[in-house]
Amino acid sequence: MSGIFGEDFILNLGFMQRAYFIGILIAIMAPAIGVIIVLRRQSMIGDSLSHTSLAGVAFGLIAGINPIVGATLFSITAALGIEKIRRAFPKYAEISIAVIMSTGIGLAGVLSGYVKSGFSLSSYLFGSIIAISDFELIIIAVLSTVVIVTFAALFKELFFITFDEEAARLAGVPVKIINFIFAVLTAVTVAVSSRIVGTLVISSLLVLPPASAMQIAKSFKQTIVYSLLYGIFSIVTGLTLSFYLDMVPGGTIVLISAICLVLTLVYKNLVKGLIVKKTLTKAN
Amino acid sequence: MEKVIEVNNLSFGYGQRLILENMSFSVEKGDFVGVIGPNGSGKSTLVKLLLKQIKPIKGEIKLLGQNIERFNQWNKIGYVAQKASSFNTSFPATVEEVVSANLFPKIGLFRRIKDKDRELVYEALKTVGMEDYKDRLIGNLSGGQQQRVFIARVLVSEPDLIFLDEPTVGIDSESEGALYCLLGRLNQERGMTIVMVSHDIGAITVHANKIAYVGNKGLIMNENTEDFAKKRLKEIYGYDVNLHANKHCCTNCWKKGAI
Repeated sequence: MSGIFGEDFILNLGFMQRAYFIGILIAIMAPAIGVIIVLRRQSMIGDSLSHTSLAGVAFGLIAGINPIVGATLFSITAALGIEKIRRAFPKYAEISIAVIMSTGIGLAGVLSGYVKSGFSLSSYLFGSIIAISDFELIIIAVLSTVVIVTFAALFKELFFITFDEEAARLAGVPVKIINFIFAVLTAVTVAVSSRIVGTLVISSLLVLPPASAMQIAKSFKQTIVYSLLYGIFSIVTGLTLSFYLDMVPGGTIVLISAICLVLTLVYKNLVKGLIVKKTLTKAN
Repeated sequence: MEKVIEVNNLSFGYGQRLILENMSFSVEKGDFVGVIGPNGSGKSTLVKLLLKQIKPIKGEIKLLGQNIERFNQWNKIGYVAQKASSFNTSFPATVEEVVSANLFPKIGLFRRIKDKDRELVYEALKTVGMEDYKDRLIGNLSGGQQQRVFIARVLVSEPDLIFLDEPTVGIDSESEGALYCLLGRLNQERGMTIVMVSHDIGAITVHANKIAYVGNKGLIMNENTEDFAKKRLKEIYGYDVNLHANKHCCTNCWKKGAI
């Protein structure tokens, strides 16, 4: 092979194939979970879980277990903690998030002091596309598939609970169980995404694609579909640019998501302006 | 007559302060009960107790003949809350999506909404005259239209008993009149039992067949007759109350363009 599709072409490189594969799984999972989080006014939950995940990564490095496994365990514990505290302070969702976030940061800070100097935590802060091991590939693929399938199966129930939790309970939806499952799904999403996207920026991937989608969607289903499209576009473009321009993948992906949001807002305002102009012309 | 609600010696309070004390009453199938009383008398608290949102200090509540502690037929109960407190107006959901959600008891966990289910949604929207708005975002509708959608959401699950807690707050008087008409029709034509908390004593006394007066920690329920209502209202509010209400009720009041 020669030319642009030669051996060094991006799609022929084994490590980039892995990065794209995992990236697309994350691009489906994170924005879907993100729509529910944003609509529940819990946008900061991703930050809270990702900081606790970082403590899990540090714990994994110290204890000699895979950091992704450590991150997943810590993140699930944190998500369940948030749910528990949320029930103690109904109507003050942000209290539970703040409590777990500060605890997570504190724990990550303390544990990072015990990580041997040979290991680098920084690749988990901003993500990395190189050297994803077979074990990590399998664990991320399995967990992501479980999250996506469970989300699709509970789509109708999640919509009802998010729109009106009390009415959902009255209609017989097992609200407590589904909230518990959703907390676990969110925790897993954050933990597995931290490998490529990084713990510092994963929460933006939960919030930015839904924020863009909400600007143009005309229904809940459309909000989910557009979020996925924004997510896939941002991740694929971000990974490609980070490879060619040697930039950190997490940062690049988030910047692209932010640019998408700005362009969507500009587009929406232009369309709105045109409609107003048309109406005024007609009226005259 | 079959009793759909039975309350015996019910007491409830916040901290040391009792709001309801030893309250007993029953509602029969097909009743349209208007619940009235001064602010803070415990009307909304009573509805919360009947919906198991809060637990009583003592006493017993039975819904459809079953003790509320073991009650499992919530799909037969509908609830329309005060609009303002119940939903986020920028939520990206269509009218059809909002109404379809309440098909859950019919469809069950994990299953998807099918075409025949959508027909039920269309029928419910038609009952409240909102079928042409099914693809519109709920947040883009007027207060009166939103409340009609929430009533359609309750109707789609074909409940036997509907609770409404001041559903007309923030709605213009024309929409309010149409809402009372619809409830009257549902009560008479479909035999639905309706329990409605209202501040609009004039309107509720036109449509309800029974009036429940909540005050002084208790509840007194009587057949709705004008003389009796005036006497009781004086006892509860402390002064003479004259009832004025527009008794005109159009049968097509929820048709397109009426609101």
